[in-house]
Amino acid sequence: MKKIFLIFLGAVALILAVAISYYMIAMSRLPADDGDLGQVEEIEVPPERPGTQSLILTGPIIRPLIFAIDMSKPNIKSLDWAELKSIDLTAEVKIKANVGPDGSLNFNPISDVRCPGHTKAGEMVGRVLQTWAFKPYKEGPITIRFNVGAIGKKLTIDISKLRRKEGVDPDTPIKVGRLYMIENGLKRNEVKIISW
Amino acid sequence: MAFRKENSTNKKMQLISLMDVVFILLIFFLVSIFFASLPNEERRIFIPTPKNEPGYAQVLIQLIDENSFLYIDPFVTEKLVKEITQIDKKTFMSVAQRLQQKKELIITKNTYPIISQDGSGNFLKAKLMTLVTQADAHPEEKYFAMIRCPDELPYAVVIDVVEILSRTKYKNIQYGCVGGTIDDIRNSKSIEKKMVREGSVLRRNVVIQF
Repeated sequence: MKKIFLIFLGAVALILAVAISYYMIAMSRLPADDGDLGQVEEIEVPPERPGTQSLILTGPIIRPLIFAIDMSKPNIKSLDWAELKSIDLTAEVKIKANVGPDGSLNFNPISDVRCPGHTKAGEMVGRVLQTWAFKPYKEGPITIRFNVGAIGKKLTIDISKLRRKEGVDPDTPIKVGRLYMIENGLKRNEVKIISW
Repeated sequence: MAFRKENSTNKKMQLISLMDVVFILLIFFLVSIFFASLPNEERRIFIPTPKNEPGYAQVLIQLIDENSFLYIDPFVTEKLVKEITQIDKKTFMSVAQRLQQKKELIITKNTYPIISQDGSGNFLKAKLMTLVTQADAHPEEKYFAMIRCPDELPYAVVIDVVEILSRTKYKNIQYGCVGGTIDDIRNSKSIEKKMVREGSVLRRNVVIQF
């Protein structure tokens, strides 16, 4: 019985093999387009290729502008922090200035520099800051406050009231760079920038 | 030590597992014969096709007909962005009028004859060679050129373009070909500038919606 079953299976396999070889030989003689039409019909229509519904012309990379001290300007002096400390260890100087369209820092050394009780320090700071100039991307009021004796922030620069200069591309972002030229003792973490 | 003597009459071939193996082999060959017999085009059809995403192009080469083409590269796009900004400021004009002006700006200023009128030079080749030279000078940059070609135009023109673009030393110009006519731009629904952030990089693009 088992032998008959095996012979039967073998016969089925042989018939299958013969049928399939015949089918393959028959199909191979057909032109490519006529073979397996049913299979092709089942395949979904591929989606449209990119660029048929819209086009995006990619422009060049936009480099952000950096609003900072303009080092290319001549005569920019840096403030000697150690010297300021030697003049007045507890100096408190507040300068209300204006950044002009050309980036220059404009203020009146008498009326705009407030330093009650610390006149010498005020004069020294005012003298140095008058040489400072920024990159001409922003303009408007700026406040710079020195507090030499403070434990935390010894220098605060408020640029929140500055506005983008007219003519500067409105889409180009402006980042804040180095806004002061101070050497000899002032640490980076002792500076606070208020930009909002 | 006494060894047990095997009874030779009990030796039988295990046909069940043999049949299993034979059938598995049969199925394997059937399936592989089916795939091998498919023509190449049909075999490729199983590869996923790209989604219908917007077509990004740094360089657009729109073949108009056998005599003219539209060419836009990143420098032109930069100028276009500025001019589109100026047009958008003309609020006294209707939206349709502004769109018409943008279309004219894109098409009229950037359409060139393939061969110069006196027949002395091939503008298309010159433009492409400029791009190739630029790509060779900046191997770190990658360029993507989209070639749009109307269906009725001989494909040989596209092949000529591709041939020139593939002359780059550093192979930093990639290209893609797609069917489409200048009428797609002429009849576009909107043309806008758009700021796009790609990672840490900001780009100013021009989006043309067909």
